[in-house]
Amino acid sequence: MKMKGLVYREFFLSRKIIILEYMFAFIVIVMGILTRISMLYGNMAMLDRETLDSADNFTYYFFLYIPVIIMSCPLFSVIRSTVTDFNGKWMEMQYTFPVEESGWVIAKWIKNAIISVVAFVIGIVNAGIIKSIAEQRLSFIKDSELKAIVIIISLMFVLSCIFMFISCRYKSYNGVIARIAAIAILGYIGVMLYIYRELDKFIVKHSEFDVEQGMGIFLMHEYNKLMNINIYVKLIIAFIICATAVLMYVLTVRQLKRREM
Amino acid sequence: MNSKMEIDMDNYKYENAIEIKEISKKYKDFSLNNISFNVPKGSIVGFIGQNGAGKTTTIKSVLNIIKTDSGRINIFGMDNVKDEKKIKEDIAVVFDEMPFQEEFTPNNLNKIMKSIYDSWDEVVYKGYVERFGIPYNKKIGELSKGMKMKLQIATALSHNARLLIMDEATGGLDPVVRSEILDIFFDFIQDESNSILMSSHITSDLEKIADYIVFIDRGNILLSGYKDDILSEHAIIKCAKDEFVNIDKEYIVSSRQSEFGVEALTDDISKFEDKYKGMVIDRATLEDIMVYYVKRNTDNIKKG
Repeated sequence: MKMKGLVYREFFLSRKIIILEYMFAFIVIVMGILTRISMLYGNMAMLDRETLDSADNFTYYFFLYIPVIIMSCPLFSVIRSTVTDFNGKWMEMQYTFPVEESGWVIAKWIKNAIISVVAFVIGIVNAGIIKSIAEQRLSFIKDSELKAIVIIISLMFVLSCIFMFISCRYKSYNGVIARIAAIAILGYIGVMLYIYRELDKFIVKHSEFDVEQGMGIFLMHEYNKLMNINIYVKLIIAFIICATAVLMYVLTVRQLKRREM
Repeated sequence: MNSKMEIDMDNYKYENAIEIKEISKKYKDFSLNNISFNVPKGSIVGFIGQNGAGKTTTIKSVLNIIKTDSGRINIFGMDNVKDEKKIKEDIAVVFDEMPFQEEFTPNNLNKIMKSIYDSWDEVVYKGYVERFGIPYNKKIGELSKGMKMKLQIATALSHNARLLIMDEATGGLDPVVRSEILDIFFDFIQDESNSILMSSHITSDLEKIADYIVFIDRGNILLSGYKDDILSEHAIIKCAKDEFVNIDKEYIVSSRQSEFGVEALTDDISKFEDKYKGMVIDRATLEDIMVYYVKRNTDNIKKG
């Protein structure tokens, strides 16, 4: 397996950011566990019911998803590593190796896949611990949190594939960041416009809530809607994610085969 | 140089390690124009030319790092594009700059390279690293420029390559390190199936080790052939201005005039000596030849 060395290289170059992000995620997980213990059995359990419910809801999701997001962040080191490969002599050197371009792409993907699997496993263990503190059992079928973890990691993985293609296409760090920022801003504006429009409709329809209450209920409603979507829609989303990854793989390999040095 | 090619893909029978046939590549502000030359098996070919002459572009074309607009390149008798992966198992490349990230150690490089090359020889690699006095677990960023270059060479020579391609590899190194590196190339070339293509603008190195010289300027090959023939055919003539006026310019590549007289390069010393007896004639170095040919090219361009 010729790309074994390239995978080793990828991990070696990203090792600091991986260790740092995982340490950070570990701190957040510990904070989450302590907070949950305090809410159920410690000082925070003495709060009034309404405040406790609201804090319980918030901290549960916060301490469940944030570590997963933090652990997925090293996926984006693919931008710096790819741009550095082009700007240094590594990319030229790589063209002198008896390894296909697809091997170089797969090497970076293997690193990202391993990071994603580790993030998934730690995310599940974290969810299990958080649940067990409340003496509940984690269910792979009933609990929507696990689906959310899978979605977060899948999206982060696909984004890293898109970013890798952009990095191979534009080769300079500033050029890549500018394009990613443009896509992110457009995406953010789109999501915000959708949320405002739907929130507006929701508040008009449910005039019994004030804006603050309405917003909380609306977000929970949207979250539940997202987690309980029809199986066909789920399949379509899964297909889109897989198709995007495959498309990015093809485009990245084709871009590297162009040999624009 | 243009020896007949024998191709036997299975047995790797070939006479020229590299055959370049009329390759062209156009950029906005530079072009390679119908470049052709060979690197015969078992020889060292020095590829000389000033900065920006097209040496690196030619080498990148050979390695298929860039695509050419036209022409054909064979390596070990095989097409450099179609049989790329097969060919690259047997090629070693040394660049002018370190291609490996500074945080790697020679130990890390060994781990990377041993999976990339089927024929990677860990013992040979460790032997070279030890011979060059490179600390095995020291980061590349902490090594001197000479050490970095030696490490690159150690990496290049540790997978039993039959062709070593170097792009300005000795530039910027002190004479002692350069001399050590040239010794390594001598060792490498002792095996007659090994060949070296070495691009450099430090002509003194090539004068020591090259068998053939290919001289490129502004994307065109100006001169190619046996180094000894080139050196024996060319000479520097020193004369007074009024003497120079009477010399047939057919023998002169280009000249430099100063208040003390004229220095000119001739490309046919035997005929020149027969015709103009008693003139001061000095041996021309590759550097002289390069400088005078480039000057002729520049003068021709100025004249339009």
